Amino acid sequence: MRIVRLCIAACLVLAAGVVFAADQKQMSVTVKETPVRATASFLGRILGTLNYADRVTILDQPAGSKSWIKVRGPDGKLQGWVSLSALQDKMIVLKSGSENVAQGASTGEVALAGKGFNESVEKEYKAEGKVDYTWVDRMQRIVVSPDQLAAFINQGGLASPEGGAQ
Amino acid sequence: MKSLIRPLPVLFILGVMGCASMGGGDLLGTALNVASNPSVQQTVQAVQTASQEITPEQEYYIGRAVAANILATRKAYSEQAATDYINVLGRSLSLYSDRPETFGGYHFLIMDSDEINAFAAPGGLILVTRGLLRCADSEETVAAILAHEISHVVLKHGLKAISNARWTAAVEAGVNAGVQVAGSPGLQQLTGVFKDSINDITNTLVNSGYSRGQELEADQMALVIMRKAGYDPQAFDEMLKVMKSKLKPGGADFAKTHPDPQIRITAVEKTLKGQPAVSVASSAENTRQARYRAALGAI
Repeated sequence: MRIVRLCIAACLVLAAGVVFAADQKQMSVTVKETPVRATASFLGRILGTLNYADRVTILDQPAGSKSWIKVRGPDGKLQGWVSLSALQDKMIVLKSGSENVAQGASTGEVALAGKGFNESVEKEYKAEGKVDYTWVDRMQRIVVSPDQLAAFINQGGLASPEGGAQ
Repeated sequence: MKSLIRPLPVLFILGVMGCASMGGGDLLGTALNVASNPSVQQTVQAVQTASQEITPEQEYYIGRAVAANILATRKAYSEQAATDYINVLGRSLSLYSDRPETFGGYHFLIMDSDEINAFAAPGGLILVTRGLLRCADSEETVAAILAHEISHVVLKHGLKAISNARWTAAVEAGVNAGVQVAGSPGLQQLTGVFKDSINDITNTLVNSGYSRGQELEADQMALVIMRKAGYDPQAFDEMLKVMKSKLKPGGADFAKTHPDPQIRITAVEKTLKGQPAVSVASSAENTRQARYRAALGAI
């Protein structure tokens, strides 16, 4: 009898966990990578990084906050604040199904299959040889570090950047 | 049978035009609801609506191609201090916008040209000429220039320049694409649609310009970004007045692609009228002016 009670209790705990998990809203990262911060500010300490298509669990969104949301990363450990501009509700699926594998495409090609204007389209476009991406690649390698940004903002007397123009 | 066939274009476009997205109330649900309606026209409408939801990743690849096309006929100005300065200033300003993060981030490049010109490619690749930067004489007025370009990115004006006809073509390409294997007819067809879309945007940026409404909208958003950042938006008005004095009628630059500066000045002054000035501590003001002079004083 005692064992039955224990089993029922265990089932109830599990069921509660499932209901709780189902209640927790999730979002997807829509940018190549985005920092997870200790505070809801672009100058907040960086705790880690999330990557494109990562699914995050929403932990907190303060009432009235349109710019920041507290999340837990897919590893279950990384927790912190992310700019809402880097997230969307819809799930992003990076890889195509196994039916495409059966068609004999290589792994890389399958990963890119059916995703519209993407790297494979760019490669095809570049192959025509009419457009040079040298300067585009060079400008995209220009990185402003968090320290540079913080110094520029603080020394120039700019406002604390919380995001959102409206 | 027909009822089974009708939703197919919608399903294809979801495959063609973006990473598969799943979730309540998404495009798939919306499109299928319309597609189940007997009207073919409504189905096409749904395809077009769905296809206009370009993902940030696709916007990134479109923006790269647009910037590459613009730079194909223009020389970059690679002076390090100037490039670093507009990047840290531009990146800072983007944090006060409604879209502080894009797929590949904001990046800024100066073009070695006396033209008064700038181009905001989708996704955040922003190109400004030395001629335009010479319309500024302070960090605030450079901020005005960059905030206007960032606003075009935030408002996705570049993507809106893509002709609706491209989406119908994209559906057709999607039907033929299958797996995007290099050199396959489907991928070539999709690349053709990509190329046409890039041409639409580049032609708008270089030749026809955005609509007057879009330019004024970007001006208004720039004023908000500046104020939020702590730059006096009055500097936007000052920059436009210098631009007005320098623009030559018939020029192939902003004279061709932007509304008359006086129209913009009138709209900006109407907004600024009655708004309090942004006060800046003198030490911060000195820092701003010193770093502006060091980076762009000889632009």
